[in-house]
Order: sequence, then structure tokens, then C-alpha cells
Amino acid sequence: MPEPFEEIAGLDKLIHEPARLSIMTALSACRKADFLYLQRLTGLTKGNLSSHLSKLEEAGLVVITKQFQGKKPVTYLQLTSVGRTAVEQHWQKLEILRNGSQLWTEE
Amino acid sequence: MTADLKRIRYVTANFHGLQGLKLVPFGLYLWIDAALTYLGFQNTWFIEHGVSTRLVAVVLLALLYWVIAAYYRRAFGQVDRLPEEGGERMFWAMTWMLVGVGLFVLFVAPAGRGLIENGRLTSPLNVIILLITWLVALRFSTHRYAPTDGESIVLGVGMAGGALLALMFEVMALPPFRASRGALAFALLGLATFLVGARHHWLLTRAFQPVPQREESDPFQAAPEEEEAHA
Repeated sequence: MPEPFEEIAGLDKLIHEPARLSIMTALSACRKADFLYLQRLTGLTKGNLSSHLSKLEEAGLVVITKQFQGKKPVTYLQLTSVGRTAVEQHWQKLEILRNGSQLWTEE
Repeated sequence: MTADLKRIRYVTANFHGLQGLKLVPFGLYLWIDAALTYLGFQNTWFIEHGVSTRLVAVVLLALLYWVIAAYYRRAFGQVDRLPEEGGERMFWAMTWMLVGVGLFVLFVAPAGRGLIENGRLTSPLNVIILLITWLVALRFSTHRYAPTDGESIVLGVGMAGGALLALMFEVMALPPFRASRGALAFALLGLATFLVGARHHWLLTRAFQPVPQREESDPFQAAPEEEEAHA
């Protein structure tokens, strides 16, 4: 059985950060969402949300596109296939950790 | 998964279904229909101009629906649901609808209709059936962030409303109600629509955070002020 810290250290820190995990979780439940929706859902400021999204975009987990609805620009966020897989795997790892912590007994 | 992440996933997956104010135009139409039906018993003008009045109402209510949709878009943003979920959601909505109607026809309506006669309870079994119906409705309509769709809540409230409706058909002995049972039915369905809509809207709004008024001064974020930074 691997050491607990090895498994925890194996978690992707880019995704595991609470705000980014919230963003990734929201985007994994839909095809795409706009900036305002994510801001309202997470309660992050525009600056903070932009910063987190830039990091996710740089890692290739999120695609950011900008469209015009009439004269109003709307920013859409969408998970890439890599991002969708990454967040699913992250949840699986967390589930394994949770189950492991419940099964462990002192020898 | 933590409660917060469950909330995020649930609200995102059910974002369109939880826009409860969109049900308001449907509830209003039911009330308008109820009023026209009832007034038709008092004055023939409402029967003669019933179709044109309803058409005007439909146009105005369609406009209201458009305004409400714009409000949700501006206040909460936009979400495109996963393509594979659309078909599955429709399948379950239709299934629930058929099951709900079937249960109503088989059990709820007969139980309600035969519950009271001449001011006396006719059968304790009818009471039990209606009680179970109300419990099922309660379970559907009060389960917080359960993995059930909005359609389940509609079914629950619909069954409860149907049971109440069936009961009232028998109990109401006042002439105006007996003469216009259809109007009463539409009015109650309208009320049920408003209740479902209000509950959905409440679920949606309480899941969102208030928009921060000021940017946080975190030097480590070095974040752009506007989302236009992504252009």
C-alpha cells in the first residue's frame, strides 16, 4: 500500500486549488458556460476568476472564446477533452483517497 | 464530493430547469383561462370573444417569457447543457409524466372523488391513498439538491394539486364552483405552476453568490480587471 502522502502529492495541484476545482466542476457539468455564470456561481471577483481561467487555459484544460451577442461581448468557457478527463481522474483519485482513509487500521 | 461542489454540479446541470420564473406566463395563462371560463357563465361577451382574448393573452405572455429569459441571461449568465443529456432528460421527463398521469387516473382521482359524501368520510383507504400521494409529493418537492430533475418536482406538486383538486370537486357545494368546475381546475393548476416556479427560482437564486462589489487587492493574483483580457 503506498504511503498516504505519496497519493496526496499525486493530486494535480492545478486542479485541486478550491476555486479552480469549482470552475472545473461547473464546466464538467455542461458543454460551455459564460464568464458571468462562473462568477456568480463561485463568488470570485472578475480579476481572480480571469487569473484562474488563464492558468487553466495555459495548461490546456479550458478553452476561452469570445463572441458578440448583438453589440455585447460574451466570454465563453469550455473544458477541453484533456480537461474533462483530468477533472474526472481528479475525482477518482479523491474518491480513492477517501475510501483508503476509511479502511486504514493500526497494525 | 463536498456540498459546495455538489451544489455547483447540480445547478449547472439543471440551470435551465431551475429558471422558475419562466413558468409564470404559463401559470398566468391558466388563470386567464379560468377567469374567462368563469365569467362566461355570467356574461356571454366572454364566450363570444373568448378566442380573440386568449390569442391576445398568448402574444403578451410570450413577450413576458422573452423578458424573463433576458433577465436570467443578464443576472445569472448562460450555460449550454451537455448534448447527450438532452435526450436522456426528455426521456425521463416523458416517463415521469406518463407515470404521474397514470397514477393520478388510477388512484388519486378516484380516491379524492370518493373521499367525502354528504359531509362524511366514505373510506379510510381513500384517506391513506391521498396521504401517501401527499408524502410522495412532499418528498419530491422538498429534497434539497437531490439528483432529481425539475420534472420530478413538477410531478410531485402536480400529484398533490391533482389530489386536492379531486377532493375539492366533491367537497365544494357552493353553486358558483359547481357551475364552473373547469375554471376551478385551471385556477388550481395555475397556482401549482406558480408554486413550482417559485420553488425552482428559489433553488437557483440561493445557489449563487452575490457579485463582489470591489476587486480584492491580492498582489499575487496580478489579475486583469476586466474579462476582456481574454480577447
